[in-house]
Amino acid sequence: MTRYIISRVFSSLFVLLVLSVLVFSMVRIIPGDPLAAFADPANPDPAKLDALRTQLGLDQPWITQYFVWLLGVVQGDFGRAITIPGEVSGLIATRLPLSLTLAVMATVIGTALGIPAGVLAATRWRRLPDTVVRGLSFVLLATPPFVLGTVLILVNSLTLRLPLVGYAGAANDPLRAFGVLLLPALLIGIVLAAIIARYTRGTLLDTLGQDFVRTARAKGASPGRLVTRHALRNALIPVTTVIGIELAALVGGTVVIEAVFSLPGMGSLLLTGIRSSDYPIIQATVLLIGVVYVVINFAVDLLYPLIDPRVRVHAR
Amino acid sequence: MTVTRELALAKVAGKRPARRRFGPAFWGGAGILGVILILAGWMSFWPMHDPFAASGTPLGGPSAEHFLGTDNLGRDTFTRLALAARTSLVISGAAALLGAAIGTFFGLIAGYVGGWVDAVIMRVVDAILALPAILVALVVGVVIGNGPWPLILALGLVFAPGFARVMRAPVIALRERDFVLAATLSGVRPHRVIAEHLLPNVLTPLFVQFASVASQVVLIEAALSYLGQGVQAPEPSAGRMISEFTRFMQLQPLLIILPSLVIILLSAGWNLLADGMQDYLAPRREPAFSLGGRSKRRLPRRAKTAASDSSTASAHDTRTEQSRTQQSRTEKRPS
Repeated sequence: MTRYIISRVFSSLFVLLVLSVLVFSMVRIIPGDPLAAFADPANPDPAKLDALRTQLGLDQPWITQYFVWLLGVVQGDFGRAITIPGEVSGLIATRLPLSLTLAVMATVIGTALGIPAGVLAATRWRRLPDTVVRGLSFVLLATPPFVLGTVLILVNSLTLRLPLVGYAGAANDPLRAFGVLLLPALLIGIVLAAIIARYTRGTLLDTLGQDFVRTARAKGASPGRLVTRHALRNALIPVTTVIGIELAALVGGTVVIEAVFSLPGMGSLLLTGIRSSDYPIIQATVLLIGVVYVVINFAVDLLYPLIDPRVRVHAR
Repeated sequence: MTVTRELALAKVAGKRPARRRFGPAFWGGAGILGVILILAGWMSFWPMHDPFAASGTPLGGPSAEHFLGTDNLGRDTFTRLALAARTSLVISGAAALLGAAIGTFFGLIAGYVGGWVDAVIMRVVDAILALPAILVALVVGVVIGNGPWPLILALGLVFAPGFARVMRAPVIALRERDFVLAATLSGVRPHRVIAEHLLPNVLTPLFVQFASVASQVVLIEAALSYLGQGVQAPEPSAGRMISEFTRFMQLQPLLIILPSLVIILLSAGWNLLADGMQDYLAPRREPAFSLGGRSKRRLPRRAKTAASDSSTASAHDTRTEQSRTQQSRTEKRPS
């Protein structure tokens, strides 16, 4: 068990290292000068820009910049944003909670809807509930969330006029913040539910086709008990992995929904960074999103032996 | 692989094996994509109206001349949508093809060579997969510019790691098989072993992954265009139409509904194709029982077919199932 954990830790650390190199070099290739915003186009002052460049460390060789940056990152210091005033870590601290809340809310909604739907479809294979669930999840999988979002906002503006847009921070008015996040989370959640339902249906069908299920049925276990006690425990193991991956991917993958609902999350911060080629912001957001992903995956890996005793035996 | 199993099954039953056919999912997907391709090709060679110039009253409704109406500049919606669908179809196909080429190359090498080569390739794959596809596409898109070709390059690179992962798993299993060992031992060069012995045997998951990636590319392309980072004006794009025409939604709702439908149809078309191929190449075993309604009466018959099913299930069969779970594990990258 300890060996399993240690090997997972090392593998995750290595992925993080590769990720940091990737993120760093990706950002350096972006064309455009991050200092463009400071230069006066009519009267560029090269000396002043050079001084600023030196101050920000942008005149150093890339390899030096990389290690300076990495050293800071390890200490939780992502440097200063170039085009927006303030420390990047401060900017992220105000935005990460929103993205995390949104991702967790969406995952909870997606799981709560997706797993029952998947079980329903699998246990009523090729009958009406199965067809309905498959059809619905098919359409939802093919629908971009911004289409759902746009239509919802417009319908709301014509009818109910609920306060859906305009996030003012969770500190002042947590209830309102929650209300504002509910609709975007619901939108992401139902798309997620489609993915989870499809996956649950697939693994549960595979499990129900296995011999031990038939044996249990032959010995007189009731179908309901078979599904809940025997099949589901096996079928849900890979589903947890998928849920973990989706949760991790959502932390940064909500760029579009953030844009639709004008939410100040990680995605919109990244978009700002990209549009002004602000190196520290892009590096920090992309790296952090990757780190969240790796950490959540690591957590899922650790959960695995708890859920599935077979892994526990093999991992020793 | 499953062919062997079906042959064995038919032999036990004393029957000739039934010829396998593509199901409705496959033909549905192929049909949707085919119709879109024909319409798009027709509109790009013989456009009904100039897609870049006004040809009617702004925000007009459907009429005999413009049967899907016109946009805010009086351009024909049908022609523009067909062109947008063409762009999207080309981008999705080409990006998936590029991703398949790169990913398969590295996946085959990682699986066949093994050792530290495998370790390094797979860690890089893990690192790229740690970032949501749309973020990588955004950043890479900024690096190499906007427009269809950079998009294809960016999205191809984004989805290559998924292909690598899907290709690697079956190769590792194949590597130990006798025919591969025999080829290696008789002095066939490694690159020929990979190209002639391994590649043909992993085409199954490759095709499925291809179609499923193409459907994701459609969605990501739409999202990028929606954010203003994808296909640029005046070239029509369904994603950008939605963001542009949100203002006119109350005047002419068709301008929002139609591009949405195009995106949904394209993405669903690819997805259906993937599902259909998956069912054809690795049919699912029937569940041992079914809940509700009529299941009690039908139980004996079902149990019997399932029993003969499992008694002949071979080692090959488990491998296809394994590759299926592998595939579905990596295929999902939310946008």
